[in-house]
Amino acid sequence: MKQEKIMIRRTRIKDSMGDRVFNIILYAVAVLILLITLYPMYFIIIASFSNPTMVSNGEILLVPKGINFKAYDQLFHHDPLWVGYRNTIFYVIAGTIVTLCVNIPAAYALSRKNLFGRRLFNLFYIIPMFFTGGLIPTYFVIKDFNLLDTFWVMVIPFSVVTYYIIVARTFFSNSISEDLWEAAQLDGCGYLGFFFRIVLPLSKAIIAVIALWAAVGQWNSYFNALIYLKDPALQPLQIVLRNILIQNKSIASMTTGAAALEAQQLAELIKYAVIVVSSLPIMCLYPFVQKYFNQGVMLGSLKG
Amino acid sequence: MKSIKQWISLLLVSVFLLGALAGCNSSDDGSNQPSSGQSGISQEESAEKSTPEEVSDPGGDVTSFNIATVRYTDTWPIDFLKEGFMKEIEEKHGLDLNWQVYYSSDWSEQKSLLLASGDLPDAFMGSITLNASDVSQNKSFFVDLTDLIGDNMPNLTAAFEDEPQLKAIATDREGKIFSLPKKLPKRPEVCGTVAYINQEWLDNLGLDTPTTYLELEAVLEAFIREDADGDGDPNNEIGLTGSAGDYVLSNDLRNILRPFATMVSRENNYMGIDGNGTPVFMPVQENYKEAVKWMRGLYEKGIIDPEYFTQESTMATAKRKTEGGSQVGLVYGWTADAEVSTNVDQFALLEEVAGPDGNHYVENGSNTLDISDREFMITTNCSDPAKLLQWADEFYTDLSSLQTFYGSIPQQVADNGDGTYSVLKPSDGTSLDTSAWSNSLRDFGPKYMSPSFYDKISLPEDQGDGIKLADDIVNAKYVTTDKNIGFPLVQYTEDELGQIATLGIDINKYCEVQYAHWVVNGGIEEEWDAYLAQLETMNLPALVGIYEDAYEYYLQSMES
Repeated sequence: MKQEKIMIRRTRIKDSMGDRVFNIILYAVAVLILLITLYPMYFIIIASFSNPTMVSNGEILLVPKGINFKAYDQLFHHDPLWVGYRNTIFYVIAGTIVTLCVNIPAAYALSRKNLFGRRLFNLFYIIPMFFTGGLIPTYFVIKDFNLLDTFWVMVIPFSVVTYYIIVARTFFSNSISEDLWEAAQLDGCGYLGFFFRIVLPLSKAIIAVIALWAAVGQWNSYFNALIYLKDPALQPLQIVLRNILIQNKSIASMTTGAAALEAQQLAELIKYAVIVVSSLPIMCLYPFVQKYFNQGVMLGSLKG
Repeated sequence: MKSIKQWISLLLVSVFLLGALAGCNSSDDGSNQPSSGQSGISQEESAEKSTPEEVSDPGGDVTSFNIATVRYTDTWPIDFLKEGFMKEIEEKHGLDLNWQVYYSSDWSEQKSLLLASGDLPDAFMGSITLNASDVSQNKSFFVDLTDLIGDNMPNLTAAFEDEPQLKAIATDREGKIFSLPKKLPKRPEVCGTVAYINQEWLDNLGLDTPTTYLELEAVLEAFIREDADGDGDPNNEIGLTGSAGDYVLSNDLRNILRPFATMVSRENNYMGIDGNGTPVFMPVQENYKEAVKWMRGLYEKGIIDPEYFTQESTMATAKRKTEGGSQVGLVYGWTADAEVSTNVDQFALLEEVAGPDGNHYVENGSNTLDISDREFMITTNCSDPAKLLQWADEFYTDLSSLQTFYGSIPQQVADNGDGTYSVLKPSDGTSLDTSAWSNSLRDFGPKYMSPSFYDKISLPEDQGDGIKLADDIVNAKYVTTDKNIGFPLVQYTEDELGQIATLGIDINKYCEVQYAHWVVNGGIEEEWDAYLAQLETMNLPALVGIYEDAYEYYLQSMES
């Protein structure tokens, strides 16, 4: 104890002029980065309930002006958004579960040294990570499986992610030792029992991390939906968002007359509110999983 | 404990496997399936309940077709495709149409996938779906309609005789027809943008409405020098604003610069037809040089917004629409309300000002905006092109063009019983234009109405098309069809389209950059010769040659 106190006092005294300047600069840079990162979010939030004309005139920088909630009011009546919202939640739930069911067992199996043909299987997963089949062949595969325009096309075809497997495999091979298996075996545990009763409870961190990655990935994904979904009732939130933000903006230059203008005005009015509404849930989810996030990735990277 | 968890996980896995299998089950035996838009599960059910014979032929002679179309935005509903007039003709011909609706922002990716994979619908509807090079590069995918039209399309054949331009635009360079054309009905004669001047500012300063381009300049200068909007600040007025975009020059040539006879095509290829009826590349003409000098003058005097070439379009729009009074003195647009929104009362239509040669030039973009080809294309996937063409022929009557342009009778258009029709005002407070886009194919799809029918339609006068037509009277007298109009839509060979793409992009870009440079920095007089020489080395003559050949062919096919 005494030793520690002395140490602390010593470091205080040792805090030289140079260190102080260094610390100040460090904090200044950190604060600056924080502001740069936070400002766009802050701007979107204040712009969402400010007067849209003032926003495009560049009059709104720090304080919201012409406060009104018309945009949110409009948004609650914009049906495709809520259909998209519902779909995305289903895709996220189903997609995350499927991703976990597929990748975690695969990673565990690949982490076991006594797996038959382990190198071959590893190669089997790694090659497609670098060389994909390309869009058109993939399209044909999905078409021939009759997955086009179904709920499952968003969930099943792209659920195996080699990157997740590699991260989870490293985690398993480092933190679940062979000794643990031997000990469990002595106590009468089979292969499945070991996996479900010992490995999974010990791997909450990596499961949480992969679940978060998968969920965020599903939440943000639009390209698969763009290519493989036609039915408006199946479109995810990001497609609806894209429609509002991009589509209505470009039509004014393509047609004449008032209709384009009205569609554009609606887009101008609700675009910031849409961003707020659509990114809020995933932003709320983040802090809860974040503790696992740091922990999990660090664990996976340790050698030993 | 152990077994429960095992069972749960097994259950989960089996649920997902089942789900995946359900997705695999939608049996698809081509065009005879009554509806392939349902999900896999429900098709499986229907297949179980009914015998295969019933599935393949439920209503006697109903034929099913997939038709792909593209819409600008999903803000406008698409229910009309299965309602009203569209439903009527579908049932009349015993068809079951399955519409595949895409949206323009996503379409370019989806289109290339469809064309590359060959996973095509039976037909494409609307010129927004495929462009000229999509069709010419993939001709093997499309059915040659040349001979089928005569046998199956009496209405279109009659329209071809009525309006030779329709046939000219649809016929490709080998004399074949791969796509059906359209001509929009009841369009303004000044088919394009008109000028609106800030009448409130004119009144505030006690100025007269300008009648020549020099008077216009003087008025705009007064706007920015004095306190035109009367708020006490003489420096917050803008003469004319604009925004950085791909086609600033193309738009300017049709708008502010047009007193100099610089009218060009809306295709943004910088081609116009001069007073002698010859196609010209506008940015190398003498009158273009004069026009740019004048524009430079406006910029130097501060009439042109300093942000003209740099700001985003939303910023320019915001300046025009500023609540409590527009910041801008002059706007160009289809109708004033589209440009200045709530400030519309401030603005008055400006009768086109006289140019340096004393002529009044107005935009007559009818040959690009109203008439086009590629409105309906049948692919080789289609089992019965003749049947589909018979259906498409329905679009070429007066009454159907009325209904595919404004909406169905009686929901959006009232039949007055005496052979006349009134387009109804939308009941939900939106504009007529939005209602028309929400209830009809509007600008897209095959269409032809004989001009004698136009007078039988009445439009609400305070709404989009009504305003445009009412405004039209002021400038219609200046429309001349053979003098200084934009280049029409013409047919190119595949080879020419490739050349236009490679040469045209660089040349157009160079002209646009030079234009902005001369307006902002001046110096056109000194740099003009070097500019012409540079364009020569970029192979401008070859590009213009292509346009000339295509135009020549267009004129020929119009005569024959």
